[in-house]
Amino acid sequence: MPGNDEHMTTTARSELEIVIRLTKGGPIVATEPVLDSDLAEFETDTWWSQCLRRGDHDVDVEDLDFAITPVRSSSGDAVIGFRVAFDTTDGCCREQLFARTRLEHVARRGARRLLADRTLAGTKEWVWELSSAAARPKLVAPRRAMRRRAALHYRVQPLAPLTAVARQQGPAAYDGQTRVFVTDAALALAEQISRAGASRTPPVETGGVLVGCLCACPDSGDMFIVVDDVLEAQASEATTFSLSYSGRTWSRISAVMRARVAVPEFENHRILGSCHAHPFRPTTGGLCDSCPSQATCDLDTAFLSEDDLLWCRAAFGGQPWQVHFVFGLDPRGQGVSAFFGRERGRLAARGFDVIPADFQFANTDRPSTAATRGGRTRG
Amino acid sequence: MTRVLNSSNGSTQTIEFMASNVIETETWEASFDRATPAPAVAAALVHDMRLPTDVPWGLRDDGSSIYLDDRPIGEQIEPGACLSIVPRTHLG
Repeated sequence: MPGNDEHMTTTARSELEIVIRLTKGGPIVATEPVLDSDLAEFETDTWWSQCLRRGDHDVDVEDLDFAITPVRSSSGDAVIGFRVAFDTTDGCCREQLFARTRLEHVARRGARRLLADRTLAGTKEWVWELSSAAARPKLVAPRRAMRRRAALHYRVQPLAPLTAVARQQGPAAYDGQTRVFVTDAALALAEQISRAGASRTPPVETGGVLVGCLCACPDSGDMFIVVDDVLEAQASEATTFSLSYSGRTWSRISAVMRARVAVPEFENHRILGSCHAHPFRPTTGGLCDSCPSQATCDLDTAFLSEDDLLWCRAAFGGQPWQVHFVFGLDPRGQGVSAFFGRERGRLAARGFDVIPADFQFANTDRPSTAATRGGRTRG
Repeated sequence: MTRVLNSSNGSTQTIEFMASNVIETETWEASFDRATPAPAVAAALVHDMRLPTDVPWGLRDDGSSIYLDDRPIGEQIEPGACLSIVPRTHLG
């Protein structure tokens, strides 16, 4: 911490680290520690799947004492993943496993450091492994800010009436996957806002934030998500290949959300994710020779780029329910879209369910009795 | 119940303010030496809030929507101000 060395204290914790080599089995050229901040999103994923979605809606993620341990291959030679576990108040252990590939962004951070010091200069080849490091002293700065506790607002809503009217879009939800419902009006608005920049000269990226609420089914205790509105990212700075939210963009979004949640009917509303478009085609050189004979094309720009993933991790870190639309184009210029949510520790393409905008929800907002990271504290 | 570590109650050397993540799902009560440069304050908040460290971050005064610059935080905000910690990165 800049200027804070005199306050450093030490603590110990089991650690993971990334090992980088130029060739498989070659000498180690660098190690990159897996930081507490790298693990935070896996802890909230575990809180979501092992507490909130199991009916324990009042558990505060900050009160869970997570243990992070490596998972080894059957031969014991390689670390193939890691386990995030915690003990419940009644002594049960709950855990979630994550593959080592979920830490690829940490490996890329290490590789960027090597590029900066020219260790990787002249080569694009490098390989990485996850490794367990012995628990070692770690420098920790004392906190100078303390989180204010707030209740998690969610709507108590039976799932069955929603599934009865829902129209599946994209892959069907697999067993255990978080259900996501998007109203037809919100879906149309997300695409309208996101594709608006495509008509400008030159085309620019436009987008917004998805708004809705967390819901808890009183029958199963499971939680799910409903997206029912979109706020445009106004006053943003955009190019054909980028979209930056300015201070005014965030201020306007905050103002709208504060006004909205002040209304009892919308008290459980929150920002759930984002939408934006890639107003460019996947190929710059036109169509390939086989295009006229192909009914469909696998190429499109409806994907989350590396910049998108970094932005989502920064803006929506600790939000295991986050969801994102990307509206892109195929080589013929036809619109293609994709929907993403947290799946087993990463943002992955998934399906969702469309419901009518006039669906009548049970009007039962309920803040949990405990504070949670997903709470709201500013009015 | 909340409390602030390293606080010097009543001292004119420290400034207390509220800091939120950009989507306002978390709010933190913060207390810093007035002379601390705003970027160092942002770095400390990123650490405490367990936000990604490989992202450039800025502090935005919610009242003015203006990003704080490199000067000491005590020169740029009033006590009790509401700040947001904002990723200075972009969708691409």
